[in-house]
Amino acid sequence: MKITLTVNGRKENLEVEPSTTLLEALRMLGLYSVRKGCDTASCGVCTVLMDSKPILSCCSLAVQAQGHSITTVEGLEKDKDFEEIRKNLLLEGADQCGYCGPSLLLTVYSLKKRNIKSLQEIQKYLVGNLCRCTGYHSQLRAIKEFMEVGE
Amino acid sequence: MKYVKRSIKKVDGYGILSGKPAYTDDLAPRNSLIVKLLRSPYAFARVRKIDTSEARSLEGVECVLTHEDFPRIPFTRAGQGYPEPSPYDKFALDSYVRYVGDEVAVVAAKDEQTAEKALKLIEVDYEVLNPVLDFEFSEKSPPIHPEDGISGVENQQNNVCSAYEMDIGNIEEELKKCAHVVKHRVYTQAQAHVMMEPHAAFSYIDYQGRLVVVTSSQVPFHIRRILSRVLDIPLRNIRVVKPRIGGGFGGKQAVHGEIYAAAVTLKTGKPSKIIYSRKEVFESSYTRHPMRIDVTLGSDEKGVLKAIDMEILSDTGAYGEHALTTLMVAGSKNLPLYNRVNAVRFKGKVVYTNHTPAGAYRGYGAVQGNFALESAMDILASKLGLDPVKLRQLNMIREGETSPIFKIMGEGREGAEMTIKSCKLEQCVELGKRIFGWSEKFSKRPESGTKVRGVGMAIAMQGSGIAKIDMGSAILKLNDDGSFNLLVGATDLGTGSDTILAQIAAETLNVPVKKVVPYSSDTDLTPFDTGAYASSTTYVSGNAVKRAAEKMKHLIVQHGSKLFNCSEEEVVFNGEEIIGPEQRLPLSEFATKLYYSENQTQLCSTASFVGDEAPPPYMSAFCEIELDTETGKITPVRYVAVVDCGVPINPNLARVQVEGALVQGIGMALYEEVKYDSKGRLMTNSMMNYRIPSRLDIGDIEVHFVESYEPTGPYGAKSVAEIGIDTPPAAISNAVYNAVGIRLHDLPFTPEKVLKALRVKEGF
Amino acid sequence: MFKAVDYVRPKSIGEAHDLFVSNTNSQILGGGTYLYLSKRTIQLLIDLQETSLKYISQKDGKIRIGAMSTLSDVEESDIFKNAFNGLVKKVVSDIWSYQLRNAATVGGTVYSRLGFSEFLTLLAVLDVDVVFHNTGVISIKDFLKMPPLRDILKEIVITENDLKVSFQVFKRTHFDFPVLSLAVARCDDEFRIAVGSRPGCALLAKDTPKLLSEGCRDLKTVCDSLIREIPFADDLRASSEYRRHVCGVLFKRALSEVL
Repeated sequence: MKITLTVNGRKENLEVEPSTTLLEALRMLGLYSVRKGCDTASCGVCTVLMDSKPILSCCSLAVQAQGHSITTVEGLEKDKDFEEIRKNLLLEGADQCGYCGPSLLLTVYSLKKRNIKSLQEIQKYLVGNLCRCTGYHSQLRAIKEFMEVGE
Repeated sequence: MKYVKRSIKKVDGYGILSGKPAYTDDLAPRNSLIVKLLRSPYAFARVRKIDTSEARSLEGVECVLTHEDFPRIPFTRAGQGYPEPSPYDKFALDSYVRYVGDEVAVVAAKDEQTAEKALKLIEVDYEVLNPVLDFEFSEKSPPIHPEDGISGVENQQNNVCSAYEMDIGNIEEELKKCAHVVKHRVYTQAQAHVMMEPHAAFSYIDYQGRLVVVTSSQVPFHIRRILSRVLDIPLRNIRVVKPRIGGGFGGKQAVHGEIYAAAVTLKTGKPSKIIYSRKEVFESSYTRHPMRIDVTLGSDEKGVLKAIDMEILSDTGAYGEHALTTLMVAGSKNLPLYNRVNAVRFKGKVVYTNHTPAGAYRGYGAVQGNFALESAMDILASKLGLDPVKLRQLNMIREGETSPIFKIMGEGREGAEMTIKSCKLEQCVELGKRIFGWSEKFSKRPESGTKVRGVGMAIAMQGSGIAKIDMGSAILKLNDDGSFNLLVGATDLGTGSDTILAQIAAETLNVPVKKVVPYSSDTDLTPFDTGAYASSTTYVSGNAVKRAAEKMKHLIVQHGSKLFNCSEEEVVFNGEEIIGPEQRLPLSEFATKLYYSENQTQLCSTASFVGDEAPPPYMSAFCEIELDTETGKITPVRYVAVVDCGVPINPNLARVQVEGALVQGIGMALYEEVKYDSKGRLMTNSMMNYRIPSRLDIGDIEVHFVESYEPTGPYGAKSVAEIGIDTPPAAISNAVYNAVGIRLHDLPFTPEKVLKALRVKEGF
Repeated sequence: MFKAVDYVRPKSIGEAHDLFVSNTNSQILGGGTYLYLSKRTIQLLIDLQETSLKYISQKDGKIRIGAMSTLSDVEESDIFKNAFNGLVKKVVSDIWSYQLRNAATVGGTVYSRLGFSEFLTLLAVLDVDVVFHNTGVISIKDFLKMPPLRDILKEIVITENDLKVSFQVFKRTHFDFPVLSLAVARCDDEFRIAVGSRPGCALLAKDTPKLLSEGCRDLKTVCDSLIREIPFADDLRASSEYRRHVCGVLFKRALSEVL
């Protein structure tokens, strides 16, 4: 079926099956920051923002996303907050293999917009962003600075 | 040092975090055929008949391949130096299937749906055989590899894939003389790598009719060699390219789907791609070798170690990938920690079972061996009434010392003699102890109540590449604007090695890092490198880069002297300018002249490096855990690691390597449970059911460095990639003992196992 | 992943209900966060997102949660910041991951009676009505025992009261399904006890609350009673034997909060 998705502020027309996942649809649009990690909603790698909230694009359907606004890191290229958290991550060497990088950045970005300040809360919100390379602590150092939270 | 020992940003980080297409699947041609594999539902079976006619006639199916379509060429998936120490016990496709998930047939279709549909249409008549599912009974079971034509297997009839034995001194006699003897047995599990990017590859035929394979691999040069063998085409007609990799940890040190994508491309002439599902990654790539390890330690009255005996039974699953070498590393990267003993014996066997094959995984046997040895050390300490730290200090290896094991045990063959030129293990232990507050915490009396804290420690060593085997090389090319292309075969799998190698080149040339443009791992364009494994890149490839840069410096001076018409001795290159007796020229102008007007010559330097030795990094680890005595759950509280990796070229990246490895080790120790059902099906075959640690499951982690200077390393560097994973199983198990007095010996320490042990102790 | 032949977004529950009952191979789509694990072929997917079921309201001591509210809506609503001393918010905010909670719906969780759901275990001990389009109002107690209904769940209604509630959960890692979840609610001498992730769906205990109501305060007796009456099973996360043990531990901890 033909659908229209609003992705990074642009209307995109595409042809999908009812069970095409949002992940597949976004990759069809050339948004390669959206990546598949696990097939079971268990890793967070496929995170995108829907109406400013992080969701898993591997278990959302493209058809469900019609009428909502989807954001991927490609759409935040010029965003100040995004630039800052990306820079912080790079400065800590917390990017490593980078496969889960965009999904982490998006989730942190959404928390910044919600102005979440408690470190404990931030960590809890990020629990679904698994990373196998970094051991998380370098990410935490980068995120703490970005979110302006202390211990 | 201007450009090394600097935490600069990774050269590729910005693009990757911005979502630029970089990984295999991002780069595959859109019209690629989708390659899917029909996999065995049985742990052990023989394919009597396979009917692919219906699948073939399905619209959109381009080809279906079975074992009849492949030449019967035995090989190993393991991506190792040649000739490989792993047996040639596998065929691209075979009429026998030896584990649930083993390959039966290949389907290529225009899209995923069609390919999936075609898989269902293949009719296979299996003769189901009795699988061998318990590795401790494997030797007495019917052979898993009864077939002819395979080689390098120790004993096919008894299911023994590999075996190794060595001794120094007389272990039996020595143990008899010891005042204290400790025996300890441990079991380790088939940990999964869980790199975030599943295995992926695509292939196509280029305009010269050559096969190009783009793959998420740690070992592109080995892939090229293996493909040439298995597909029976000349190596020169294959190009293997590695794009960015979404993690590997050893899991991509082997050929996986590349063979099948390439075979489809060769058959159809069309681009094809294969992306493993997460289930395939779990079931059909490979895992860490599960091992049973028996350690016997003997010491005198005071705790001076006199004898170490280690005996291992390792489970390599259906195929012997990395079987012998992981076995040997379990000994060779642990036993020299206590180098002053009179007698050492090491022996082991690696047996086949009908489980998912085991292969390379960060730590590579060393983590299994460390768990056994470092737990046993604590048992001995408690027997002696000694602080476990003291016992280590009394016995551990020091700078300037050696161990006969370095020479006796290599990887799959003899090793290389080595006197330790850099070892700050004593300082690592001392510093770790102080930062952690060990003495105070260790001497605290056990608490009562349901939440009990405990502390434990362990030490570890690893290597830096494989001496006399691992080879890295580099090419530096001066460009007409005075920048350099750095071409390396080394394989950055997310670790930041491209950045580190650029830093080393920049340091040697004394030019800013941004003037060195690294390009890695393309068998057509970059020089040979054995690949990213065995903690080799910084040390082995780094040394090659340093040599190439030194040669380049010399070339610049040489050509400067030609230009200035003076002797080489009169010319200096300081990174910015070429300075002669009367003239000076900025490098960029010099390069422009050199390429466009005068003495026109391309400056290009090549260098290689093979280590005569593999200098070990060392570390001390101190951890605190909290144990819920009612549920048996262990919660990590704090982990302090102090590492001697020589001079860290990029301290941030070195730190992240250790932090990441520690968390994988914590996962192995506490959470990552592997379960098979009675038919040999892997039940923990999804990330939903195989849970790796999240950021809330690891406690505080602090990594510190004690810098040593390794004279054989580039700018004093040793390796750092693997060592972090070695200590958590032992350190945590020691902490549990110190908390509640139970000795855990079976990984992972699930709440259920801990509770059982507690109840046994309480006499239930 | 399931396959779907057709997809619709009805504008009203009535329309959705008609489509649902007239097409035997149709499926209601909530967040879709669990459905994707199914391998079925579904004729018609009925997406409820335009049926105005995304609301949380509080009136006359009752909190109504529309079936299409996400778990995050519950977690972030001001109503649940205070209601039940923030317990509902806390329990929901520990479920799986933030990303999942942003899509998973309350309706999907309740209708599917997901075994691993902590939320259901808690709801089971509160005064909760489950409201269906056609069938009408069913108490959660009855709903948990009923066979699946071919009807559309509209909302759940939680009656605010001064129940003293303790919720306990045991997980192996923070980002995981529970090995066991347990909730105890007390109002004077009346007790309710629910056990979830057994691994089956939350189950209300019958005998043990009676024992407690009758005044039995011997921990061993009541714990033994609970683990005797609740059935447990093995799965990848734990054996039934271990679950039984943990149930006793969590129950003891819960009782210490409500007694």
